[in-house]
Amino acid sequence: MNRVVFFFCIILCIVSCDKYEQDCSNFNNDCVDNGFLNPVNLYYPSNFPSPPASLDNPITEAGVNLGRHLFYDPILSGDNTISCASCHKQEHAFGDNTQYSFGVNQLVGERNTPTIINSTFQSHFDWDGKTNSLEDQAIRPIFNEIELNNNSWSEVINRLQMSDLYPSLFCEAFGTNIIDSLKVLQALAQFERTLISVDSKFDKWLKGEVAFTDEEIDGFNIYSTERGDCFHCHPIGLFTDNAFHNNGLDPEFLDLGRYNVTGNQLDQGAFKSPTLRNIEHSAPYMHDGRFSTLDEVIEFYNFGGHDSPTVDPLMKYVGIGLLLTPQEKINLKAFLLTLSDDSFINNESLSNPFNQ
Amino acid sequence: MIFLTKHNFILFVLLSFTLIIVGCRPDEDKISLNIQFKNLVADQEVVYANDSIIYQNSSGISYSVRRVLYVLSDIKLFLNDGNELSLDDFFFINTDDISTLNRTIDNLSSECIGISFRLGFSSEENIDNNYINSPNNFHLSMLWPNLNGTNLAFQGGYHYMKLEGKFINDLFEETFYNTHTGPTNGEDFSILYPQFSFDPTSSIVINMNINNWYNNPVYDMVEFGSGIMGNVDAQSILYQNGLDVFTVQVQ
Repeated sequence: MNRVVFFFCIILCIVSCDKYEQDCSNFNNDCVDNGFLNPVNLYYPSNFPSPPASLDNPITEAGVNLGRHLFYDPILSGDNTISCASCHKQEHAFGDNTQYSFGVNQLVGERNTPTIINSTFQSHFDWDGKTNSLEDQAIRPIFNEIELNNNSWSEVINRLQMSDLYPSLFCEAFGTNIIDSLKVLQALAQFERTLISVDSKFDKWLKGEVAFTDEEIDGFNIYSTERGDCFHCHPIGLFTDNAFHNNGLDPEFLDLGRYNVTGNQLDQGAFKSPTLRNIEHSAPYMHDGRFSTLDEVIEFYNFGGHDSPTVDPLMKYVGIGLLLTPQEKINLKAFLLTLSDDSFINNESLSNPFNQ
Repeated sequence: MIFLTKHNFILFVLLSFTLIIVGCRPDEDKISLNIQFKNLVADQEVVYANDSIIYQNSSGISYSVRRVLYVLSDIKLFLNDGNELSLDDFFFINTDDISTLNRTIDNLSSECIGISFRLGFSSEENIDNNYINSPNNFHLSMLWPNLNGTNLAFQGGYHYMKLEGKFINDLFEETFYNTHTGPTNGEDFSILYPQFSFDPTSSIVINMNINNWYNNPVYDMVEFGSGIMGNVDAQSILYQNGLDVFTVQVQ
């Protein structure tokens, strides 16, 4: 009988302590699971694809609230100084306003921080698409030594488990206050899936709620025809094609981009097309943040880009240029500014919960 | 209660095994059709690279092929037992995504002896956002812009084909071309092909003969330039050329 009790205790301990070496030896699980979580319904327009089903991580109010706290809390960094929001700033369309972001110990990143707008509708993440789900995406920065710089999940989980706040938030979100890495990633992904921007002037114009100026209409035509040919890589709706292109930034590459993931020679110098929604707020631009202003970006495309063996044929004006007139460049910019969504940038439910 | 005799028990066991074996056996009466999609120039498979400017069309223009994306819809299979099968789905072929270069259609009642299809979508099917959740990133890859009435060349729907690469222009410069076909001005330039017939088989190859897009009548890349989505004349010539771009062979 004693042996049975002994083995039962061993099994209980193995089941309770997850595979990421969580230290729960001194923890008392007093969470009461009421078995009901309010689901969150995502609202988006008809020209958006449906979000990929995430049956194993349904979005709930408590899960989003937990994810929001984790997103803004430096507790996820090794030295308690940096959070996800340190680089993904709401006022900058959840991107960063510096060319490269600073991680722990003021170490500098290697690429410009991408925005994470409307990520729930996309299937490749990071500039080179190295991950295919939001849950997986968060792992890299948590352990990257120039970002959040943790050595192991156990140290992350221990900090959360020992905090006054998180056991109860995990209890509300997942019915247990025993924290593990999977739940951390799921909560972050749930919050990120609510970062939906669909209320720009362009969206309102499509619905007939506002009028465009003549400049904006001409800019829309430049954007959406082969006059400017922006739409192939940034199609209307999401304003990203969820694909990778070498847009002719350089004749030779310092950063091989997508090639580092696929090993395909044709992918050298290719990066994911970013969404252009809220582009007004997401400067600087390109994977290396080389352009500080929208005007510089438009000038680059008007120049046509640099040729190289892998430059995308959609950059069909390489060596020629778009040949836009000064007024056409103004018009194109005027259209791009209609993609700003102030209700998203200022949405308090997406803001730092520790400031409220 | 029923008691089994030894004889009945053996019969019962044999019958049960027979049922299990029959029940679990793959349905050998059903046949599959495997379809491969290839792109050819002069009967050779295309080498996909910008700088591989090794092909030449009948107007003497040298060009390369970086990628080809296209849609086949209204697909109908003709079977050896007289049945015809219209597929609900369409085929999206993208040379950048090898998973789209091979399709298998299962549960056919007999071997296939013919296939017909349309390049692109008919006007009735080419509707804005109609395929927004199709796999392989179809919607975002093939969307034809809808300019909301501000430009009638672009009324939404989807490209039929994107054929892209480089050509040598009349100044002997390397220039990009985008042979993109679709519903310019809302016109239906999709191509419905008559039946391709072949000997009974379970494996075929659908070849697109790239050079045919430019040869009959001659399509002048220099004259039409790099971007032709709003050019009805270019689309009309491509429509005529497209009538013979496909061949189907038994694998």
